[in-house]
Amino acid sequence: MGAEATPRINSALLQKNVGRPVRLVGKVIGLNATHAFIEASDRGQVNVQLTAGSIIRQGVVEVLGRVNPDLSIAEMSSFMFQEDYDCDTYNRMVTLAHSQPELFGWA
Amino acid sequence: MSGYGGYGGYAGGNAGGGFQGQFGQQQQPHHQQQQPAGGGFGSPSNPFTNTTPTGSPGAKKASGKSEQSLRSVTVKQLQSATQPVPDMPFRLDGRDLSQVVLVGRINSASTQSTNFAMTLDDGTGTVECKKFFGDGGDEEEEAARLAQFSEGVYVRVVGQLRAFASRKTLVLFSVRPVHSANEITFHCLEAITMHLALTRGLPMPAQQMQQQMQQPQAGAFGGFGGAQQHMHQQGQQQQQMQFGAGMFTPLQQEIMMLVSQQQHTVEGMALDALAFRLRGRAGADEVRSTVDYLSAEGHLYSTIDDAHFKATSA
Repeated sequence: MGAEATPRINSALLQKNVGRPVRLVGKVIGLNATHAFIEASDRGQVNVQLTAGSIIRQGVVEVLGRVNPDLSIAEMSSFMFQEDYDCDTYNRMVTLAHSQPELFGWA
Repeated sequence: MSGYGGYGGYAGGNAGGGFQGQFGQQQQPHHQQQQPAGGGFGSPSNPFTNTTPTGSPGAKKASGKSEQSLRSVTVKQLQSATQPVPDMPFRLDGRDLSQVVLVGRINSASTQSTNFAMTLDDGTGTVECKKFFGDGGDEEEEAARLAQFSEGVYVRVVGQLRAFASRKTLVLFSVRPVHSANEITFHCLEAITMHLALTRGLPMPAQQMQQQMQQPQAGAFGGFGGAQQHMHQQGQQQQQMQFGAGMFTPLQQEIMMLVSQQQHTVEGMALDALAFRLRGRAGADEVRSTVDYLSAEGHLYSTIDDAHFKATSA
């Protein structure tokens, strides 16, 4: 038990989490050798600096990474989901979860 | 574990609507305008509804028994769970924890001689999990199946929180892969819903109804807590509480309440009288069909003829 909390965020919450590890779920809308462009649940675009051997491809991804001062994310690891997702509901969940620090500790 | 089967339906796909329903409820937990409990709460098979609303005198009675429930939780909640008596169940939100559900990503996993161990991270913290081999079925087969759960994989697990050498460990009954991000949304919302229901009480449509009937100034009860306190003060409303646990629609609740008021009579509530009392809110046909439904579900039974009813649980 323990370890640092990694808040689930959307693009609007990047600013509050500079320097911290976060979890970003979104759709991969663009990909090159070094970067992935992800549409977050609030439909803002987030640039992700890929780590060596990144598994990110087209689809829905959860990126675990650290927020850079320029609000891009340095990827640590990722998980590809198999299906599409309901981004609006996910986004509302993220907002709601941040209002429940007792459960999530993401205040 | 009947409620757990319900998640299967979710995996099937049409969860979008369910989400909306649950979420809409969540958004305004304080307001009185809630619709009859939808989503997870509505289903009588949900193990969660087996627990009585928190804060009521009934809650104490329920916790005396060994209570079986399936709670959706976050790791942070497990970390804050306390064990007042060694070797007895952990407690969270004032209730015993029996089975819990957790959705998280595997940080590390290893197969040992007697168990499969992994560390799960759901973004709120990490927890050690162990799936022991040999509770039914081939050990090697199980070990092979569990080997698919390697580092980085998202899983949904069901287990029981135990303390081994004062370290909290989740002893698992079930591990299954998560393929859709919607499952994360669902799990987090469910954990929030359960937490709020246990700490603030279930949304009770009967309450608003009663207030609208008896207290035109329903707005006086700003918060849920206030309304609940008010209920405790009025004996008659206690009765309503038992029909308000999210199992019934407002019409069904009203029928149950009206019928139970005639419980002391030999013949019970007459259907005509029921339709008369509900005039303006529901037609006679609708009352009839709702009563039929409640009879079929075992909440009501007919007495002297097909037009008089009593409640089974008064």
